[in-house]
Amino acid sequence: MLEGVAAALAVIFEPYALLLLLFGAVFGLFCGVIPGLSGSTALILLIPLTFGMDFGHAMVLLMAAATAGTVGGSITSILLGVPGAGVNAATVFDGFPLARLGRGGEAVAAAAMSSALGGVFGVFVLILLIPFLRQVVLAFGPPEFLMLAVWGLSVIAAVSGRSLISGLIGAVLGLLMSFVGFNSVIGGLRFTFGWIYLWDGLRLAPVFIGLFAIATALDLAASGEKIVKEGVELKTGFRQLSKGLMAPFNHFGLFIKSSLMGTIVGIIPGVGGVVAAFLAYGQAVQSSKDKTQFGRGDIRGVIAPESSNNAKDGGSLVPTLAFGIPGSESMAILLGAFLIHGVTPGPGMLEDRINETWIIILTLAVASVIASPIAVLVSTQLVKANKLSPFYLSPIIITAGLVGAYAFNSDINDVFLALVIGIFGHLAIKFDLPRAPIIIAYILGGLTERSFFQTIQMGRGSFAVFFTRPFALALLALVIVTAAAPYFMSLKARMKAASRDERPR
Amino acid sequence: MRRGVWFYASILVCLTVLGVVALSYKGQTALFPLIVISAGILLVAIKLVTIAKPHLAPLLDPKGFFGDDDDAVTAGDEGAKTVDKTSPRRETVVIAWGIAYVSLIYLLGFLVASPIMTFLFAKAIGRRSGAISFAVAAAVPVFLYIVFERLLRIDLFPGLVSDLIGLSS
Repeated sequence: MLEGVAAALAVIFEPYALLLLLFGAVFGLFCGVIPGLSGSTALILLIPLTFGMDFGHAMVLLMAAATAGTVGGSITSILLGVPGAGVNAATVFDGFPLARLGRGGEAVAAAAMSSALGGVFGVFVLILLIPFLRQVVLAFGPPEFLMLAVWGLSVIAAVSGRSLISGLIGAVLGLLMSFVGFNSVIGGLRFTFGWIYLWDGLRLAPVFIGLFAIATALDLAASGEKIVKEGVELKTGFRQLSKGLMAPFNHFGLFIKSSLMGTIVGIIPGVGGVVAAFLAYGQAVQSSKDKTQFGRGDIRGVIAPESSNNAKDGGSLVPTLAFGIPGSESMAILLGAFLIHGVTPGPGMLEDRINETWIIILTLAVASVIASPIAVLVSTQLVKANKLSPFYLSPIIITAGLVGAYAFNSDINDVFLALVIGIFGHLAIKFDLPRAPIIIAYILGGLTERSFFQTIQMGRGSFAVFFTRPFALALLALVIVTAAAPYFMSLKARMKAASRDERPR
Repeated sequence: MRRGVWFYASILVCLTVLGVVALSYKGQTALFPLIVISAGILLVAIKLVTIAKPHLAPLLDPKGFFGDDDDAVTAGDEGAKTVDKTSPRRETVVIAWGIAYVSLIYLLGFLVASPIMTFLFAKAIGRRSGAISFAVAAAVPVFLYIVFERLLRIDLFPGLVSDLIGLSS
């Protein structure tokens, strides 16, 4: 093992590979910053450049771009409320309010450090798991997916804000959005109204761009307020940056928990980084004692999703390398690059191509670390946009959002959808309908329904299957504990308060 | 009319229509949508009652289940907003501008629509300086062209009119 690591590091740190790494990281960051584009887009665009390279160098370039794309998306999520990609959407909930408080620089620094550490954490877990890859991946089936989705949905009450009913209405709307289109498990078209465009369902990019970028820009324009309001100081100094960089260490337990969650979700094929980020955010809210600042600018709301969505990359390499099953969208594209270079991933990869495997794994860690300081440097300039007049900034954000919605699939219908969702999102902000439950339910709705029917088929109509599978049972227990814990904590606090009031003075 | 009544009433109408549509689906296809829509109709009805009769809100619509009044999280900046500074007129103008922008993109494409609508927004709606508005509006398509068309090789939508007169290749 050590020989393989040493050989891989020798390749990564040779000048040519370092140049590729740097170029890949900068290009990935650039794609990540533009709404609608992501690390996956960077991969697609870079693959033709790798045709003349050997497999190791090609992987250095591609892995760097894929990793940096996730980091880049957090910059605009925080500073402009515009998620660069779906995986950064959960960061908007607390990142953007922090920017509005003049703490955008601190939030980007916290996101960058969380991303770097999360990426390294994911790789570390991947290295530990190498001997047990097969058992870990095969342990997850439809019952486990179902429990994972229900676990994610259980946080909706925690992110519902001032009105639980509004949060639940948001969840209903999110679930309905996830039902649109053709259902591949049970068959049949739903809510397509004869429009072929809707057969594939509501696409992720226009939904995210509409609900966050367009809605936020319309809100800024309608209120006429700058992102950082008049009278609020824009804190961009070294002290703020170092405060942000230290944030994951100050909340180390949360960082470990979120990264672990991201790695596990990454290992499971077909779940993806968006789910990982929202699960981590929801759990950060639900498990914290002081929830008052979440959604109003709590640095923990940045650390959780950013560490999780970067740790996910390490996890998603597990099924990709071990079985040739892509663990995420970017891994599916990477798999194509493997095949173009004549490499077939699978169990043999760990024996026949161990050096290349180590290059892939270690590039992921090194790229996470390299991309983060670049992200912080970029943000020190971009943060000044927070003081721009909304009458210049809003049309720019809306233009970037609409182009981003179009660019991913080159479909003008995505632009219409982004606008419709954007207007709805703007009204949701105006009438206190929280967007977090909408997006969480939209992300998890499809997975919930699909896994439910697959579980029923697996158990031949019986739910006993949950009690015969240890992982499913453990997740079921986790759902019950996380859903019930806040009520017990609340009850305990009230009983304590009541006994304090009754005590004679 | 109380704040938000028409918004939630519109959601109720949409849910009812979707419910009627879902009734036509067969077997398992209808199961999840019908359960979710039924719950949605009930929840929106409760919400409308709490808007119409605010004194019932503490009973029907708790501020989260997590204890004290101040202990409710707001995921997003929605809940923190206490003063609504927008006027209905400006609200309508901004939304109309968004619809006009997308319509113009459909007709003329991104590269033509973006400078027109950016200038219109900054100058006519925001009443900003003409020179700066012009500079910002001119920079937008240049940026889009360099980044998307040249650097990333992504062809931007050329617009229906460009297509008709054969300007797009």
